[in-house]
Amino acid sequence: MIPDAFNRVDLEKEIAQIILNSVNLKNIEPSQLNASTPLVNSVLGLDSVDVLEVIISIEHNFKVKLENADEGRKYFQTIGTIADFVLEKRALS
Amino acid sequence: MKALLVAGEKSYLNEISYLLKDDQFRKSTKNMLLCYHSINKIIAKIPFRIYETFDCNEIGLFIGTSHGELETTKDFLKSIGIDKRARPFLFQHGLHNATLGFICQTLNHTGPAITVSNRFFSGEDAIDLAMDWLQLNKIKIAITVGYDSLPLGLENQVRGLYPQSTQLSTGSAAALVLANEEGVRKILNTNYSINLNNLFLERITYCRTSNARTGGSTSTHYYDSNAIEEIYNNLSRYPNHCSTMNLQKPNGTYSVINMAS
Amino acid sequence: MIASTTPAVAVTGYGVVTPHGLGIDPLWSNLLKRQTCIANDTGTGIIDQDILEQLKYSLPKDDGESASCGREKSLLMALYAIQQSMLHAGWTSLNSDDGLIFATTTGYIASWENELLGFLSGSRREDSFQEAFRREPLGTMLADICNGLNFCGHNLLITTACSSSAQAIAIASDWIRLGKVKRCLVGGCETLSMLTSQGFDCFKLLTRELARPFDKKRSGINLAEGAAFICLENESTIVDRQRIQARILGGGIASDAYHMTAPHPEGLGIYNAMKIALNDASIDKSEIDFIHAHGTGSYHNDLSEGLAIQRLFGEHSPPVYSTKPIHGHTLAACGVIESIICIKTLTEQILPTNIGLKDRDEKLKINLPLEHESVALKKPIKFILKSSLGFGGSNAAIVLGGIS
Repeated sequence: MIPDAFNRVDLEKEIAQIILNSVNLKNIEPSQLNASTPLVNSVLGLDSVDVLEVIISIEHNFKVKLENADEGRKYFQTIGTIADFVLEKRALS
Repeated sequence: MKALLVAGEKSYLNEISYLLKDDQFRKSTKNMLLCYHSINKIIAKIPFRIYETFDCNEIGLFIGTSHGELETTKDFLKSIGIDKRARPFLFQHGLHNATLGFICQTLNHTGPAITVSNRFFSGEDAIDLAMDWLQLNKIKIAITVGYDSLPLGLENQVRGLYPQSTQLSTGSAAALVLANEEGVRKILNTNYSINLNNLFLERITYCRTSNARTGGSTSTHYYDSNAIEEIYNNLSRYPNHCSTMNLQKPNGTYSVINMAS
Repeated sequence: MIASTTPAVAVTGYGVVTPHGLGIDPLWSNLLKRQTCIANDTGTGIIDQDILEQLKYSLPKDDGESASCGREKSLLMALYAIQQSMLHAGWTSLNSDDGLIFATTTGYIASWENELLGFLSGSRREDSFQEAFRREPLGTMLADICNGLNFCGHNLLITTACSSSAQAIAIASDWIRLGKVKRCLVGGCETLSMLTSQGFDCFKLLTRELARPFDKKRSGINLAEGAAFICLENESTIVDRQRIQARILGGGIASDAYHMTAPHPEGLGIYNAMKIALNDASIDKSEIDFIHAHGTGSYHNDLSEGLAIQRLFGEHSPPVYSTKPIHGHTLAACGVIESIICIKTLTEQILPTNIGLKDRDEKLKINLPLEHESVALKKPIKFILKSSLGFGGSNAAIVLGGIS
């Protein structure tokens, strides 16, 4: 359940930290990332396998499930779109 | 047939701790970095640039390992079987060939590259295969690497595969660069004043019957793959000296390695 | 280029075991009937207990004790394939001047991975796990194979993922050309394991449906088990020419240097491997009658491989086939199993079919016969190019030739 005092910014911060942990990036601070930071071609420099790791970590952490590859391509673009994904899936459940 | 021993190097875990903290290598295992570090040390010390002097298909990469990326395999199996959360990262890095894949990617090595694994002869086999290719002139220069390490969480189990007297290091890799006649010519063409070693490695003799004994003593602190490390140590101790090494293996087999001038 | 004085390498025998059954016959007849061994609920091909029992029964017995006693499934599969191959070639035993090259990705792992989990979770004692762990080094399996054959000659284990056995065939040919060995047994073996099934699955590379290599709608790979070996000899030493099944004319090995698992987007490594193989075989690309592709059914593999073929052969390439929908992807063993299929096409003069290919991937401008299209043979099949791609960016290509 999403707590009543829900804060989108907090969610995005949490997502940023999950990303950094899942791909083992030790020298980037979550504060260097924001909602529009893309997963690939950015300071994060993730490749396709990293994105898979991020998907698995997000699914595990927020207890949500990616349905198919199309959803993956749609939602796993930036930290902001991942937040959209989490919120939409949680709203459905 | 013999190949010129161009250079050799080895690396231990304490040397790569700075690499392990570098985000550029965030996905690399310690084995990958051990191999990379050894090759890099060679690249830094030889008087010519391998990847500029030779065409990509003229350079072969041969890696020998007995246990491969065992720690990562263990972590992947743990992630699915116990944590119930598969980690693609870990599968990608858990296959024996992952180390070779990493080295190829990092060095931009597009030539032939092969991983071999044959217990006590893992290091010899990497060299022997390189010598086959050099003899056929399919390549002119070969980078051979042998590595193994103690996987965290399975240290006792790996130790249990060796005689009790063996004192394994936490992990090591060693690399040797070999060149055939055409390779040597090409190196000398880059700069006639290059001073190359005058030591050659001859074809390895294997004795594979397990009740054979030779005068050599059994390695007490080497992994299966570390014939290459033993050759490098010998090279460092006796540069430019002809020598013969008898590498006795715990199962009674042995290899004979001749270095001649 | 290989000089004309270099010995030609002949294939004189082969042996195979797949989920279709023992030997080439069930595999080949099912291939002609377009009958897959891939189960439609799991999307995998397993060598079942039935086949395993037949296999054990056919292995020689020592002192009344079955040779299969206490031996792992994968070892039994390998020993069977070797036995069949040697029988086919007329080899009664292996000599000290013979060679053996073995390819595997996972070796015995199916026999110790569960024990490992038991140990890590505390449900299995250290000493009992240690017993299973003895099978961890891949070299243990090769040693068991050699012991099973009383063989002490040159032996080697290649483990470059899915390109392993194709690389092994290229290396074995070189050993014969060098005169390092007089004859060489070369092959591979793979059984399904938690490691590979879950590994490929977490990469979203698997499909429960039948794989559709090179199809626009392809959705993934079917993993399968299998073992196969071939007997290679220096052709000039063969007196009875009837024993020659085919020739290995050349091989090429090259690397992508791109990514640990994804192939180079344009198939740089396999392109180079194919070029080198053709050069090694002294065969012009125009002489290739068909290409037996790696064609796994994964989006990226098929695209990269297809683009490499296009770059090398152009739009009017020889027909490209993948037979993986019939026998599945057997990882390290696929190179040798599929080479045996190529040898069979050379002796039978029948082309395979691209099962599942209904709609070509429009990015690929190469000759890809559709499932329902039968290609009439305008001339005898003489030269085949076999390609293999593996994780780590390892690639291999082999040129096989028929006997005239």
